[in-house]
Amino acid sequence: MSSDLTIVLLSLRVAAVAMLIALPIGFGLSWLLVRKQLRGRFLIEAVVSLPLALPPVVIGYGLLILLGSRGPFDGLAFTTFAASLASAIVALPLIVRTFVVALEGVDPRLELAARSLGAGPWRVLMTVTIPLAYRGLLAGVLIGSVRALSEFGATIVVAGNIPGRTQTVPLGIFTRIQAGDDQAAVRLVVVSIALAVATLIVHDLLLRRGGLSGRRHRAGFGA
Amino acid sequence: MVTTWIRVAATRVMAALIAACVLLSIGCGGNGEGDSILVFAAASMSNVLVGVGQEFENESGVEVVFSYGGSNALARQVELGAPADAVIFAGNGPLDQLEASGNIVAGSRLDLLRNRLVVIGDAGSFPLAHIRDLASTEGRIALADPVLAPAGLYAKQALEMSGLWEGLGSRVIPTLDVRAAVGAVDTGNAAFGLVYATDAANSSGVTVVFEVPEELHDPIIYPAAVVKGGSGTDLAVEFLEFLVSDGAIAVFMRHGFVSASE
Repeated sequence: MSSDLTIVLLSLRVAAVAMLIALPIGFGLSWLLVRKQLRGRFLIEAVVSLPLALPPVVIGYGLLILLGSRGPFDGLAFTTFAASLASAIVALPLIVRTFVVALEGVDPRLELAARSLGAGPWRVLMTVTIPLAYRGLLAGVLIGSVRALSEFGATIVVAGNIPGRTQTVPLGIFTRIQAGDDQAAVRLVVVSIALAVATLIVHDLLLRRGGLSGRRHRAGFGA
Repeated sequence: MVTTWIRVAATRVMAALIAACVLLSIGCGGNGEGDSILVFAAASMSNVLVGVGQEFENESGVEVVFSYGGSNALARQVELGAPADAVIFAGNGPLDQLEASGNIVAGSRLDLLRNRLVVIGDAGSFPLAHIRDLASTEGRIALADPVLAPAGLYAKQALEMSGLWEGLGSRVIPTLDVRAAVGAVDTGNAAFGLVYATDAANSSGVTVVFEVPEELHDPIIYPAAVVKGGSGTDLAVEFLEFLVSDGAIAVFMRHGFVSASE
């Protein structure tokens, strides 16, 4: 049986890689959805939200077909990367939904003003859009991480349950319950709860501090 | 401008979070990919292989990582590209399947061990005179899912041969693998279980109430083989040689397994 520390560190690593995949894609998609009048908007929204509505095992199976030995990306199934990818896909809808709300709160006129004063798109993004939408963006990052850390169904199908490679905290708990090793299972359950509570506290702390003024993002005009 | 300050701070927090992700993804785990092999093994071997793997590591410096599960489920994972270097299954079926699909290094297959099937009950259970006496007992009966693990298949064969399978129907709880069937009895969630003798011996919370005669099911053979295309093929060959050495066989026998060559 894999040690608690191995399992926890692997879990953090899997979730971190998942976020590195999901955050840029999530931000790009939300920006498109909010700022561009896309014809296929509904379609994009539906596809992005699908993992939220589907049983995770279906996501896992879809990935297994793509990454398995008969798929186009042969050799990736049952790797740490496969576990990250599964987590990323399951976390993506939550990230996009939160990001969309956050970006909708940013007045496009402020971005236009910055552009008219000579700022390039990257500078506008870093100094206007992200700072104004930070609350929602942070919420998206944290909610996405929590979801990535708790991924089970898709992971066990596409990545298996290999100690040190794909056995994350939820899979470790599952294995130990199956083997009837309650004590060991409870230790990981405690870690799991601690991770979740810690994230929620950080979430709450950052959002509440930002909310002290009680102003909406838009009020950033000259406040 | 308190809000501005918070926004700048928050943007930095976000940047820090993302930087943390980058560091974690590079840093943690550090899979010392040096000398290590991955072995997919039947769940019923989880207790004994820990020690055997450790001994092999002491001798050769090669770390052995085991992933346990129902043999059929593991075989399917290997077929789909799981990076196992070697497999040890609790029956010939799953290995035949892997051999047929061309996933096994030719000539590497060997019969390693044999095992027995027993009926277990919780710690205070009375012995049964015959397997048919199960019909007059009450409570759930746990066995590995016959589709996922050979242990379930042997158990189903034994129940069928003794004319019990149909009648017990709703009392049977299929589990993911044989260890889970032992766990179900150990935690009181099932009254009886059909499991390997070795699993019963390893769990203090259960008692053997009946030893199933071997003529009621296919012979329980544990074959092992080297998987084609793994990164550690040579080391896996070495590991399999170690498994049939006198030292390793002695460990297996201490855990209640029988050498297949006997």
